[in-house]
Formats: sequence, C-alpha cells, structure tokens
Amino acid sequence: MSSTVEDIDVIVDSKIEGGSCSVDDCKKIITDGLWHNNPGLIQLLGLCPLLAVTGNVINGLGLGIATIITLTVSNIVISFTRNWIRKEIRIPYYVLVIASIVTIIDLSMNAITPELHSILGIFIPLIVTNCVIIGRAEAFASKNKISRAALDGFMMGLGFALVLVALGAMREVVGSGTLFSEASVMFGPIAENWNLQLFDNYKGFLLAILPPGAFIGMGLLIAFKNVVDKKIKS
Amino acid sequence: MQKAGFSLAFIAFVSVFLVATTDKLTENKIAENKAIMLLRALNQVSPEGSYDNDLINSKIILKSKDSGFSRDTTVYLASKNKQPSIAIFEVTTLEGYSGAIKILVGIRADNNAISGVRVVQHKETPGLGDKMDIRKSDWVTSFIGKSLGNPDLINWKVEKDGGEFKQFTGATITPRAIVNAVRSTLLYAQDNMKSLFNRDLNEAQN
Repeated sequence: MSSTVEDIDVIVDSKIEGGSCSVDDCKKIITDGLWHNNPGLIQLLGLCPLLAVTGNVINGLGLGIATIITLTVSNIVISFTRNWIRKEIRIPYYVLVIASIVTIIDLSMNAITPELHSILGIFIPLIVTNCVIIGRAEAFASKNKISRAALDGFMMGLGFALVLVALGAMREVVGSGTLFSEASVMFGPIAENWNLQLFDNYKGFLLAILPPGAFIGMGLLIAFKNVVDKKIKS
Repeated sequence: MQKAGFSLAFIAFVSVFLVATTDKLTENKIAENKAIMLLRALNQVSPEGSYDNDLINSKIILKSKDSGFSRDTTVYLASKNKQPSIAIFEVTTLEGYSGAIKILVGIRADNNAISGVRVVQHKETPGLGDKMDIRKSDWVTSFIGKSLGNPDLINWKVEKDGGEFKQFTGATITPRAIVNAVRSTLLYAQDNMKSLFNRDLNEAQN
C-alpha cells in the first residue's frame, strides 16, 4: 500500500529530527509560519472557520487567539508522545488528542474565565473543524522536538491569526465602513472608543459581510501575497 | 496490528479519563458562573430594587403545548414584599434569520407593561441582524414601558409591516421576529399573569 511513500517521508524527515533549534532554524520556523508557509494563505487549511467568522476584526482576533492556544498545546502534546505512537494509528491518535485538548480548554476557560469564554466560547468548537491543527501535528510536531514543535504551533497560529485579522479588517471596512467595532465586547470598557467610523453616512456593502465577501477577500489576500513574493524575487 | 489496536484503546481511555476529570472539576464552577450570568441578564430587564426574592429559584416552566409558545418557556417570577412585581419570560423565537433567538421579556405585574427586553442568545448575521444585541445598539431599549395598549395591538409590528417599531438598516427579519415574540408574550401575560403568580405561591406553600 502506501507504506513505501511513508517510509520515504520518515527518512527525509529524520534529518530534521537531529537538528537542534539554532538561530537560523528558529528563524525559518518563524518566517514559515508567518509568511512562506502561512496556514491561511499557502496551506489553505482551516478555511471553514476562517471564512465564517471574519465579518469584522474583533471576531477574527477572537478565533485567532483561540487557534494559537490550541495549536501550541496540541503540537506540544503530539511532539512529546511522538516516539511512542505507531504510525498506523497516528491519525486517529491526533483526532483524539485534538478533540480532547479543545474540550479541556473549552471547559477550563468556561470555569476560570467566564467573561472571556462568553466571547471566545463560540469560536472554540470551530477549532475542532480546523485542519491546520491536524496538519501541523502530522507535518511537523510528530517529527520534531518539543521546543521546535511549540514554536511552530505558536507561529502557525499567529500566521493564521494575522490572516483572520487582515481579512476581518478588509470586510469590516468595505462592508460596514468601520474598524474595531464591538471591541469593548472583548477588551472591556477601555475599548469603548476604539470604534473607528471611517466614512460619514456610509450605507454599507452587504456582499462584503456575507460569505461571498469572505471568498473574494481571501482571493485578494492570496493575490496580494503572490504579488509581494514576486516583487521580492525580482 | 493487534498491538496498535491496544495502544489506541489505551490512548482513548486516557483521553476520556482526562476529559471526564476536567468536566467533573469544572462542573460546579461552570454552573455557578451560569447562575451569575443568568442573574445579571435577569437584572437587566428588571429595574433595580424591583424585587427581593430569590429570583433564579422561583421559576415556572411553561410547556409549549399548553402555553402556545414555540418552545418550552421558563418564567422567572420577581416579587417584592411577597407582592408580585415582574414576570420575566425566557422566550425562544424561531422566526429569526438563522436559528433560534432567545430573549428575556420582563413584564410588570401591576400594569402589564414591559420593564425590559434583552436578547440573550442568537446566531443572526454579524453587522446586520445583531443590532438587537444591547452591546451593539440600544434598539431593544425602545420596548421599555410599552404595553398592549401602547401602541395598539394593530401597531405592534415593525414599520415595514405597518406597525410602530423601527427595523434596522439592512435587516427586517430579525426585528420582526423579536417584535412578534414580545407581542405574543404580552398577549400571554395579559391572560395569565395572575395565575402565574398564584401558582408560584401555591408551590411555595406546598
């Protein structure tokens, strides 16, 4: 069956295993997560929650934070147990680990920080459907040391969060002519005045807020990244 | 392969154990937090000092088939000095744009006027239908003081349906759902307010 392919994978990746987290190496993990292998723009993973919640900046930020936490923790756990898990059962193992982590984070947040949970709570179940997590478990955490896996999880999460915020900002500006509306829902009374009304008497552009706007905005973001990459190359 | 099966079963066991433990550990705290949240929401639809009883525990559940509500509806009965003061209905409407909308409707026992309305749970379109959320606009406060005579029953609709209540830009379905739910709650309260509080007293005596 596909065992030969997997064997080759293992051989190639075992090279990485030996490396410790040197400066260059860490730099690569960071730039991969944020730009070169960004989960939102390049791997195109986790599109379902990404497109669903980015109606405004604050919602994007909420899902972003929840993703960073889950991705970092799951990468650490998967990396910690990587030598004991046989490769035949690794996929169901990842599913079990991720679902358990998400549930435990959800319950703990609900008990410890009910305020935060009432805001981020709706995003946490969405993370179970986010294949970035299982993607990083398979591609990185299962083959690397804990420190590297943790860094990768955090950086991939951050890269994903940045895409969420950028897309949220685009859709909010075009769709309702505001930025950071409802910031006080997340940051409390301090953020009461953060709401920026960018245009007077803006009528709103419904398409940007509805799902098609998410796809169009996403396409524009990917195109923008490609243009920038081309500029850098030449 | 058999070994793999065993280790997977072992992992599943550990995962279940961890999740179950977390659940047990957080259970009480979560219930406590929920009660605080509920009380906070209830206080938003009943003016300060309008009751002195244990509001969370003096509730009645109205079965949907007896009451005419679309779902089972919980009523919290606020009283002051043993006198009925406000009945707070936790109504669910299914007329919204996406999924059920849960709202609290507080109705004063003395004149059947509204003491407050709050949307506590919804999945309406962000930026459009969610303006009935108090954190986003003060639209729901326009219900305060309204009753079945003010405006007349025929005008208890959104403006688009020829009534008196403003809808908000870009969304008619959500405000219509809420106005209709509040109206039917008022109609129910008009006929049943006395018996609700009597039932509460009887249950307390037993």
